[in-house]
Amino acid sequence: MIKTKIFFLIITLFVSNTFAKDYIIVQSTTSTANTGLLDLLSEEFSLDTGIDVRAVAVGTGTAIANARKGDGDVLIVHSKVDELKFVQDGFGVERYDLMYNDFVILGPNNDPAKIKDKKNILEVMIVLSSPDYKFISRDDYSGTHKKELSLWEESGLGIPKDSSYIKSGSGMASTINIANEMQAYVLTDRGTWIAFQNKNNLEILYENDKSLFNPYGIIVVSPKKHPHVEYEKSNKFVEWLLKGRGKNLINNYTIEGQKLFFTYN
Amino acid sequence: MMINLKNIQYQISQKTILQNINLDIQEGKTTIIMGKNGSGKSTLLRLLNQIIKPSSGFFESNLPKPVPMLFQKPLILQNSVIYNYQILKQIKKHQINNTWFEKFDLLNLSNQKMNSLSEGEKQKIFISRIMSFDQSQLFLDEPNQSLDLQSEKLLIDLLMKEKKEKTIIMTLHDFEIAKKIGDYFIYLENGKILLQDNYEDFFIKFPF
Amino acid sequence: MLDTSKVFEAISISLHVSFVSTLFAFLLSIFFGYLIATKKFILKKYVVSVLGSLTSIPPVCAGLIVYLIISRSGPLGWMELLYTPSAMIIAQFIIIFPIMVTLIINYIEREYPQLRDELISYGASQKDILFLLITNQKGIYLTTLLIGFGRAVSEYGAAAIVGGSIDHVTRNMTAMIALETAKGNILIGVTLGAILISISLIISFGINFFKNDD
Repeated sequence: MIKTKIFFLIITLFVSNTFAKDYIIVQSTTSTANTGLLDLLSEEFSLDTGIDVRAVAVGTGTAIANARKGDGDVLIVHSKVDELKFVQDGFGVERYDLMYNDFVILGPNNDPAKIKDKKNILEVMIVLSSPDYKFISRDDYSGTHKKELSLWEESGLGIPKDSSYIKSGSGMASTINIANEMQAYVLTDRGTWIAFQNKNNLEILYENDKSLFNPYGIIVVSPKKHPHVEYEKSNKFVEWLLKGRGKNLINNYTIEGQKLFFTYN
Repeated sequence: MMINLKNIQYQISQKTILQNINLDIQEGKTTIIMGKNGSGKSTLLRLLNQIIKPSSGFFESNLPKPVPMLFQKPLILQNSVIYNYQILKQIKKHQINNTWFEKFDLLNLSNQKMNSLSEGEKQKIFISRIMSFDQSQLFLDEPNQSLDLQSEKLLIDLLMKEKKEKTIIMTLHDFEIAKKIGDYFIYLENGKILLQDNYEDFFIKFPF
Repeated sequence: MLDTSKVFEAISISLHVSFVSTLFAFLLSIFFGYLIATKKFILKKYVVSVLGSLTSIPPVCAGLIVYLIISRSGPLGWMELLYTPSAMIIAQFIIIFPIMVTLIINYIEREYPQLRDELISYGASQKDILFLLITNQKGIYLTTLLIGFGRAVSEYGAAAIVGGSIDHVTRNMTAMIALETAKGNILIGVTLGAILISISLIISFGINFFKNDD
């Protein structure tokens, strides 16, 4: 008697999952989640089409790794080099430009490193490499982290080796929190910063540099590598974002009057 | 002869509780097992009632299986007094004799919860529970524990009536009570029988 | 300001997931607890020791283990459990089962010998003994349930890893606290934290209340 009851309980646990999925899994960077955009897009797409979107915001590096393993149907990240490689290796069907914004450098209000007056980003990086100024790095293979690494490389100095270079190993918002506490400099995407509600003692000290362009790509995972991928539903999602109401939602997404993401035209 | 033990040893977890036990339990007699705490009295009683098996030695008993026994820490069920009293009836499913229950004046406690009673009241219930079965053999482990003087006296009087027709094996600390009801006495020390004898000879030989 | 519907959603997900995981763990604890406590078998000491050590398994470890099993590249990937509440239930089960079964084993090892001896002398069958063992002290079961539930509902790491903290689906209280706090949205974080602590308090009172009832 008890044994049969338990058996059926276990079955109900799994029943909701063993039939065809009516949802797609999106592996995403964290900046789309921290800004609230991802949640909004998921809800609205579901309302429009009845297809649920389960978006997992884990950071670019993890998202790509998960998608390679097949734990996702769609990939939304911001590291073009890795995105192209993903497609080249056969894991993705094609990479599309989804939206863009830019990166900014945050720092303490009093700007001890005086980067406000610098003319280009490489000058800024050179100054910030000094042991006198703390810099917080994501250190998690996210899109932001990879951007940061490429900037250090371009500056010719590489990653600072002293203790003023601090690795948080966590998401963008947590990293900003740490920068706040330590009164340090940090690279972030503009979207996360605008959405961030605890602005305290940090402010944007350097921005509007061409090199700080931040493009987001969207890729459908290839059913050739992972046959279980919800291919049709995922393509609907991509289309909705690139040409449908999703595009409008992205463009009209503001926080306190400021636009966080821009779509391509 | 009813229960016969030759060279019995009982060990558990590498500890020897009883050793070199040789004794005969006579039917119709009252046998009292005495000794300090930890001397093995309860273990011997359990062994005699076939609750546990000896580790080695020869054991023979006229009884086919264990009989209801009064343990040192009897079973308490989270329920009313009457439920605890009648638990035997539930399991054995035949009539029970309420004489002792009434004699100990326990009727008015029937609906109370077991854990609201004093130790003495609980003990009276445990005793009545065992006696409700009218069995011919009584195995009792320290039946008088926690009893006040009055209840103890009542217990002894009732046992005196029972002993005429029954075989009683019990453990006791109190020598005075033992002298009153016992026919045969066994004194245990560290798991060995130091002295065993009839009433006439035991108390002469006993180095007290 | 404070989005109450979001908060209620997180609470509802937490309760649903943790109720189910606690119930499963409870039923299996009684089943295995009885078997392990009353039967003699060769590896008994090792099993009990392993279970004892697993009581303090870090939630992230439990999450990681489940993740490796149910991810697409894992043996049970085909079940499509990743990022579902079911996965969270499994992960929480792994965290709370060891402690619950250990509690039951300790209770039975404490109670069973005396109960068994006396009931055998009464001529009770194994079924009678089992029945009385299970129904006798209800306090221990309540305590075990409350301890398990308390652990399950307040853990962070296991459910988050395998659930993915997905809005409306798997974002339970602890996941939401983590996300909202990181966003700088301290208000929600504090509110949910307060609710969680209140739940823990209620559970703690419950445990002590029923303990004294023994």
